[in-house]
Amino acid sequence: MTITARGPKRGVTGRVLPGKRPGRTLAEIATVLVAATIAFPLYWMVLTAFKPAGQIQSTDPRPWTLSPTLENFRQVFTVDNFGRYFLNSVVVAGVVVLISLVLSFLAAVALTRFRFRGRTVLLVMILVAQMVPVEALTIPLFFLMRSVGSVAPWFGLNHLGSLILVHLAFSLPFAIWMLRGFVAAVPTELEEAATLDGAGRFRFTWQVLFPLVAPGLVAMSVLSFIHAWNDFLFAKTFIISATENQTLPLAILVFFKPTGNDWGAIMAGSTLMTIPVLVFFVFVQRHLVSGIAGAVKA
Amino acid sequence: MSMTTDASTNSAAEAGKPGSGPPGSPGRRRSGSAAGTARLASALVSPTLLVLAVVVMYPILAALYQSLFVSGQRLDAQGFVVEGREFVGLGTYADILFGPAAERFWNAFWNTTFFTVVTVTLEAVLGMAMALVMHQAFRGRGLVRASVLVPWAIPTAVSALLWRWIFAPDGVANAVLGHQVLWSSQALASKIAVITAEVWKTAPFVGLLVLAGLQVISREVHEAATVDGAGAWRRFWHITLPLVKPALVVAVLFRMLDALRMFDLPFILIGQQKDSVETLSMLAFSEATNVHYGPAAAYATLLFAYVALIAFVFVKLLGADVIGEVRSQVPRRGGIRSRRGKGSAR
Repeated sequence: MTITARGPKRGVTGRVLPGKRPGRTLAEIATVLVAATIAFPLYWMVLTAFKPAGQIQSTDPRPWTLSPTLENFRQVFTVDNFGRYFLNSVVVAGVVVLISLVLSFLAAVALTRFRFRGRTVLLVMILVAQMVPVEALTIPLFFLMRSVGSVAPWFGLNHLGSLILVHLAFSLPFAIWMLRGFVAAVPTELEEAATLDGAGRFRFTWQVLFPLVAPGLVAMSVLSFIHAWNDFLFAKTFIISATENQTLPLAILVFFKPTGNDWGAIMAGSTLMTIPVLVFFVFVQRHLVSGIAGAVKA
Repeated sequence: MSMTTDASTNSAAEAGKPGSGPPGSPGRRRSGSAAGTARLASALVSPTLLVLAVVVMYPILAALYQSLFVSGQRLDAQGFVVEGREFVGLGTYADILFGPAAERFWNAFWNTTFFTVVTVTLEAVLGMAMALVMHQAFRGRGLVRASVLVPWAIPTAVSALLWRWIFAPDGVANAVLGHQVLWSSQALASKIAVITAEVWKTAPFVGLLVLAGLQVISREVHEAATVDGAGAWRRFWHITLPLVKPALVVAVLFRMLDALRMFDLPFILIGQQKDSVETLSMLAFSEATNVHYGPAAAYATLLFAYVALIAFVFVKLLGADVIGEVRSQVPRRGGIRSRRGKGSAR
């Protein structure tokens, strides 16, 4: 609903009250300090990535470098199949986002706007799915994927499908819970009006409901993307022998050596791995806050 | 029921209805198509349920089953080596809770609990503070808001690596402190390292959820309180906090569910099989990689039960009306009325 999308902005633009100047300056200073504290580790990561080898491991680390170098990045790109790893990560995260978008929307619609027996039980079951300690269940999942592989090779071990399936399952519960608020916020009168105008349930869902729920879908897709992109454990467990199907975090592992870790390259790889998330994030940042506002409001 | 002030909850039958309409709206599509509705609903939910059943439900049930057996090589009563699986019932659980494995289990249990309590408390306080600051109007607010959220958007594996680098023996943390701390081997220091990294990463997320809650509080309430002579502290304690409570409770609930399952941060930041930071998830993983499937499955089951118990108690105690919240919600302009309703109902 437009209320959902506009509510937050209204609250913000009307914030400045007369006679509140000192408090505002204080808040500005506090904000800058908070932002700086939060940003420092990130700065350190990027800085290390650009430092020449001699300056990285030093007893007196300096918060700047006078001789920035791209050597560490070059190191990362020379890892065999680096481009392939990157592409694999993008494919897994992208497919997870698309499928979870559709599935969680359908489920949220059914669980919010339809009244049927067992609805509450379903909702609780979905919440409980969020509580399952997946990392602790890596091994049962490993065996599961091995048997799945003999039936449907695409979803078996060593295939990206196994990662997609797993991350889909982990992002769906929270996505559904979040979207429920948005779907519920669309007034039922709209549906009645649409029905009077001759629109069926499907037309209403796709042409009216879907666009109105869009901010929630954006917020949800960010969460799913980050979740799938973050993964390290499952990529490490499921993709055992097919190196061409490994994902990005495993490319960084190459720089951990018994003889001493190559922190310059590790930080360069980490920087590269962070960039796509940030780009995605910057694009949807505005919608994200109002999106989550909608879910919380509900 | 979460809403006390709203007219749409005028009858019990109405209240249980999804997206129950505003006052006066007639019951819709009730008769005749009830079976059709159920069929359509199950068609819409079934893909999700299928995925969850395969990837979430099957492994936890498999773990439950597997935890009743021991496998691998061991000696039988006569001293012979036996192979294969043997049914031991709840024996593995007894070993874990009271027997030879108890020490490691309880250590991991307390680590998990300690990390959860400390990080979630810090995140709630800092997230609240960040949200209050971000809520103020000033130039460049959008930029600050985006930058504050960046740590949350960074992959956990990357942030664990980053903090491992910061907490390295010759890293920047020691340089700033001017003191040699062995972050990866001293018990308390490694706990502090994990907590710092975790709070850095997720406090912004709590801040974002709380900010979203703050933005629906209407300005008039604060103005009215100011006119009535309420100071900033009183306004925060009696207006802001109760009104953002639903948002905060949901944020804290989901954070707790995540924190209890903490795995990759201590795993990458400090390392495997370190008593000081080993969580239950790490313990289960480590047992499984040592081919102790029975105990690993038992750890996973116990952790799941623990998470479910905490979630249940939390929801009961704090009245996070997670189910009813959506059921009763009605879109309205002045969000304040329904909010107040929710805040007062418990």
